[in-house]
Amino acid sequence: MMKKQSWKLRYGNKAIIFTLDAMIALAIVLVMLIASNVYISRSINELNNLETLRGGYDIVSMLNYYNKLQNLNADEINNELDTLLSEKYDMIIQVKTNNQNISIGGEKIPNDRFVGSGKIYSVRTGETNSTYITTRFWIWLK
Amino acid sequence: MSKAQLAATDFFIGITIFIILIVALTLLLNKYPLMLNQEQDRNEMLTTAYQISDSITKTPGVPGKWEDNASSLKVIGLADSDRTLDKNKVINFTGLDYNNVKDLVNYDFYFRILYINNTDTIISGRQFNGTQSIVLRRYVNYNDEKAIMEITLWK
Repeated sequence: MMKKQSWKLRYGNKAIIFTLDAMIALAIVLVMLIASNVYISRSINELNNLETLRGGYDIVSMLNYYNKLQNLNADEINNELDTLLSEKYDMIIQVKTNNQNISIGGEKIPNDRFVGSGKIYSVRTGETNSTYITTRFWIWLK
Repeated sequence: MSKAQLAATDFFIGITIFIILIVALTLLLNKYPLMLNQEQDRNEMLTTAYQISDSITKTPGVPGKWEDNASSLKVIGLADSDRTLDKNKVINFTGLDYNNVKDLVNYDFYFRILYINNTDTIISGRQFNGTQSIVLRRYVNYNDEKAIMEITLWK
């Protein structure tokens, strides 16, 4: 006697087909749930990152206010940075003029987390000429 | 176990797993709008806090000389120049009626200026006593010293 199939499926009624179908459906549902969770948590982090970036701008502005950038003295800038920079942050500051280029703080810019960066321009006015100073910074959470 | 018993057991196990999944999914789907609303509220509060902290540390406020007539204050600003706070404005700000400032910032607030060694120097507003809060800290110059302006918005 011939075995009768309950459905006329191309691959017959093999259990593995039903199992695979269920697994694929479950995987799609899970992927969608995880994607929506990631989307929600990412939108929260993006706004929090603004605080890091603004902290960087605040610190460079303070250095500028106290004329630390104008003197281009790495030790002085480093000391000031130690006072101002919160323990939870790390920062690199690069100060460039026409003929000088110094880099202060931090070791290496990480590539596994958010790094805020910005550029500020200022002028050092001398008796005979003016020097344009470009300050670039990178700041990140430790 | 007979074939029929096996089929029935299989059916009940399948139904149970299905119901558990449906319940879990429904609960999760109901939670999402709530989570999104909470996040939207939080983001709105955070954006307001950023705007207020920028306005406080970078602008003199509106009108520019509001400290001469404190009740005329329309937009909060305490800066003399970029990130340098005007002592006179700060003192006048702390003397303002809490509810008037609350109307300007749209939230309950707590304002502090700390010197860099973490000693409070100026305090205004009410401490957090609600369900949600945002704290922002900005570096400023106050009274010719390095300081931190801290604003907490809460509701």
